Amino acid sequence: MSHYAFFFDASRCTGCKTCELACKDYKKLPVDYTYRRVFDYEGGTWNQADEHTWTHDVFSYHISIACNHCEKPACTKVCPTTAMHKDPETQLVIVDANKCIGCGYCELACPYGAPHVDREIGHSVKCDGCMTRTKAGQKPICVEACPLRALDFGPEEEIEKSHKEIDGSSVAPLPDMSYTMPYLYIKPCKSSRPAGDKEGKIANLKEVM
Amino acid sequence: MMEHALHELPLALFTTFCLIGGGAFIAIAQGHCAILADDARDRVLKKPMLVAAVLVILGLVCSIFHLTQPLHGIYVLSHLSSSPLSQELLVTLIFVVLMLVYVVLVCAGKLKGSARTILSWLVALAALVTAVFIARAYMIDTIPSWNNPVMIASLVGFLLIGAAVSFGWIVSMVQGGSSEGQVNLGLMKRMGIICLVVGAVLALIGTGAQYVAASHMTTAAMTGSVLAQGMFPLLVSAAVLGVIALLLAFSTLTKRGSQAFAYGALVFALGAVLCARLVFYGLQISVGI
Repeated sequence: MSHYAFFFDASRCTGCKTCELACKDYKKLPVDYTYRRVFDYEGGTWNQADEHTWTHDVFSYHISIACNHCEKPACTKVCPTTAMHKDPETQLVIVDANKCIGCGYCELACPYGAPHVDREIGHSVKCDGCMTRTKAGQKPICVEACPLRALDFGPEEEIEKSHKEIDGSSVAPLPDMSYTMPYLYIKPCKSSRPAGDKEGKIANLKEVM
Repeated sequence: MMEHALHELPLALFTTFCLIGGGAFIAIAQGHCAILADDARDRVLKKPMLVAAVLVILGLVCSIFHLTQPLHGIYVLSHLSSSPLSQELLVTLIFVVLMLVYVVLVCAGKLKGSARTILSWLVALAALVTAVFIARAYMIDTIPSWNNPVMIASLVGFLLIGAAVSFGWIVSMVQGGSSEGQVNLGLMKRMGIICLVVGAVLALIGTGAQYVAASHMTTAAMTGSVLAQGMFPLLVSAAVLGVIALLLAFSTLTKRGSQAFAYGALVFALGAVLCARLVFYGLQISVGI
């Protein structure tokens, strides 16, 4: 069966965080974590030219990221109890609360920082691709909420068909896709840097980490 | 940065207690070979055995406390084929069960002669295998600062330091008691010094290599050199405490030192390994965000 995939258009995202807020509201999440996070990636500097003038090469863009329901999820690989698993019907990565021991290895291993152990409720939690909405033929709430339609979600072939500009590569600050093979298609913006870029930094670390 | 390391304090305590306590069982097993009479074995080995067992149980309690639902641990059996953490948990469980059986039988006076020696070596072997499996569980593809075989060297090194400290303790007990004529002290001393040297070298290589490698890593979210700088006071503490522990252990192995030196070596070794483990957890650098 077809696998669901997220699409993210970096050229449209303004970093408004409506996606993050909508998810937090819909999933009734506490203040200390979110399933979707918007990273501000910035870099560049001033350079002095020969005639003593100054030019800059600064850049800035936003990346909205939740769980990418990867082909080779790092979280399911390290989970000692198979609590973190792929739903057989939708292939979305979800948590079986009745099996989770709350060891936090999924949180350590995921290079997208998607899972989180909520000690109040006693198990790992994460984006489930709004499974109930997905099964009802609706898009996840973050996708519906995005005012600039920078996000999309659907079966992989549909995403590939409707967004022809995607090339399947990753952008900074995300890791190279070879680690977990995420079901994430990104349309880069002009400023986008490739994964592994050393020129920029996450500018809103305190907000997202 | 320090919060990052302290966040994993229960795991740091688990590995510290389990490795130092587990290492002691190597010295205890060797003690069975070096001490000839059963009554002398009881007099000399019971105390280190009980202390080692308490340390291992304390470590286990710390690891259980960091879980939110330890009772779901039964499902560990369902992922043994591919999850190194499942394998670690199973191996640790086997080690603890073997150790408890051994301790209970010895305390009840039901284990004598070669059966006692064989079971003590099985416990020591299980401790060594547990150290290797604990290290393997941290070798995660997406955390390059941990995904290094030197982790195994480091943890086996800590285990051998635990063994060396216990060798020193047993030797000092024999020298201070009435069993000296019934013990092959030369063998105990030689084995203790081998564990001390090999343990110190492995711990140094493992901890040092991870620190240097992590300090050269940079991602969009973390700068390895900044993390390493934050962990430097803990690294120095680990080195200072470790040197004191090794000197005290060496003294108990080579001179007629008092048992106080052996107790000191144990306390300083625990402190050194705990600091080194906190450095390890503080140097967690993911390939991603």
